[in-house]
Amino acid sequence: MEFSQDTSRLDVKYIASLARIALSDEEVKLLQPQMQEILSFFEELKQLDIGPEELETTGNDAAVWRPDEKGEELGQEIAMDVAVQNRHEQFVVPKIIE
Amino acid sequence: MQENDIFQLGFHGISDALARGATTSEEVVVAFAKRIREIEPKLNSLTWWDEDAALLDARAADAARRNGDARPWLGIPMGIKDLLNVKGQPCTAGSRILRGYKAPYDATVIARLREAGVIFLARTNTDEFAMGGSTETSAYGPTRNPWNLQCVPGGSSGGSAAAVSAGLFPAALASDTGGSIRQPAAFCGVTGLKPTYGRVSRYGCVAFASSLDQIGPMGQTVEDVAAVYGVIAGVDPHDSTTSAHDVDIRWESLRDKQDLRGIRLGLPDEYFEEGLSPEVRKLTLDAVEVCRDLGAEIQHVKLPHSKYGIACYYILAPAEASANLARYDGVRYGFRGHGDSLLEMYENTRNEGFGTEVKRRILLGTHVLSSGFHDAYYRHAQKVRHLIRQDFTRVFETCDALIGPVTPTTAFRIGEKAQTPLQMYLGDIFTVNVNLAGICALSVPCGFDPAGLPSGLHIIGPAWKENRILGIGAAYQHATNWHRVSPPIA
Repeated sequence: MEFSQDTSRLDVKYIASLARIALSDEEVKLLQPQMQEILSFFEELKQLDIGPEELETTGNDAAVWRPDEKGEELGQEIAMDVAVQNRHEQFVVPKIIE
Repeated sequence: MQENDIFQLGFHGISDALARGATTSEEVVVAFAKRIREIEPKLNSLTWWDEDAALLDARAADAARRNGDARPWLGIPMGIKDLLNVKGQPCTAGSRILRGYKAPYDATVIARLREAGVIFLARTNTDEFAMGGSTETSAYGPTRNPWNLQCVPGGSSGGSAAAVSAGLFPAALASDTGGSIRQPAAFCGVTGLKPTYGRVSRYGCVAFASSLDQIGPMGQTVEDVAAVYGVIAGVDPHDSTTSAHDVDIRWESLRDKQDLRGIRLGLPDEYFEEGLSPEVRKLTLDAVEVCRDLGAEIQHVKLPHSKYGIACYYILAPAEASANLARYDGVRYGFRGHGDSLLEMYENTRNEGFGTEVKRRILLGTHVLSSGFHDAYYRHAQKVRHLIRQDFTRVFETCDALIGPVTPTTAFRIGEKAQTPLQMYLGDIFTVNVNLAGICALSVPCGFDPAGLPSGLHIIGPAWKENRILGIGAAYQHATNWHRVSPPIA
């Protein structure tokens, strides 16, 4: 298994844009070497030659089933009450349509 | 009853004192609230507390008791990690991004403790979104270790551990994704249980890494931890990962657990290799000898994939965190940054709302899941996780439980590792594999290093065998007094 990347070319600003975080230039400068160091550390997993037959499943129980029945719910009013801004039981956000 | 007596009693002791009328719940809450006012300014272990509300609950509990209510935990105060929703209380996960959020419902563990009559006195500090091993990343500032105020209490549940150690309440709830109950318990000299994945409902717990997170109790003794565990464990329809396995908690029998005859304890060779400090090694091996003296059969075992645990964990946990924390968008709860467009608002909210460690992990998670890297990192780590799990399955064929150190060192100084995240991550070497394997483990105090800082003995059991490791811990505590020693601050 190849870690098909050159960590020196890690584009932290681009990753931050994928994660919807407006990083400052100072933070990019701080995080870039730290992330590179951490990603380089992950390379040690390459030592393990793992075939495709190795399982990926985890968990102590097999698949869990339950009847498809409606349970209790919080209710829209209560859920909306914790929103940053709401009006008429709807979220208020910056204008989307020009 | 004297205040100082109340602090020494622990969860069970207070229950007994209340039952025989030696004290009242009001007296207990007043005593602990006074102690919080005195000691908390030195520790910064709490993010919020409400003495008045707790007193109202205490008076209601006393009235119920007078009317014949005999629930054993009625009217006992607890601390709750600021990651669990308690209806009507703030819940911030130690983050600016949840500023102003007030929980509209009870987490399942809270609902169960409420049903048992427990009083929620205070909320405890945590690394932001439980990401950290020192409680330094909290938006509320670092918590201090009651054994040495210049040292960290561990993390992420450092607030719960420091507060229980200093006697601010007799027990607390915490959570453990990669060691966040056991490591702070070890650093602060308290007892902490990380239950089997699926044993305790995560409903109402702010999610970090959903395949690893597990809620558990902290207290002074194994008996106290077992009491809280007995209330919160069990299947919950709100969390499909909870199991219907019999909880089988017999904490009453823990009081009689005097020896370890017939118990086979495995000593993983990999846990005693390079990186373990001589002080922690000595304290751990001394504890092993206590177990041997109690009649346990000690055998050396191998967990060959242990060393890959850190890399595996720090791929999988951030990957899950990056998905879980996508919900903090400045719309649904908490804090909102400025922005003329929706995208600008999202990006500013998340930049201003999250601290650096959380951003670092979201970015790592985003990267390892991104197109072109997913197979090399995430899928590969999932396979390594399976190998780590198999290691444990194999050794539990010949051992009833494993014992070893919880941490490579005792508590380090505040700021010592704050600038070197990888060094901080490496400190999780003995704890993360338990989460990756989904099994249960306990940390019990096992002595002090020459600087007077506590160390923890790790007792690791197979899935669903909490009762077994609690029994081993109880026998160890019957033979030792480390869990009875209070920090100088108390």
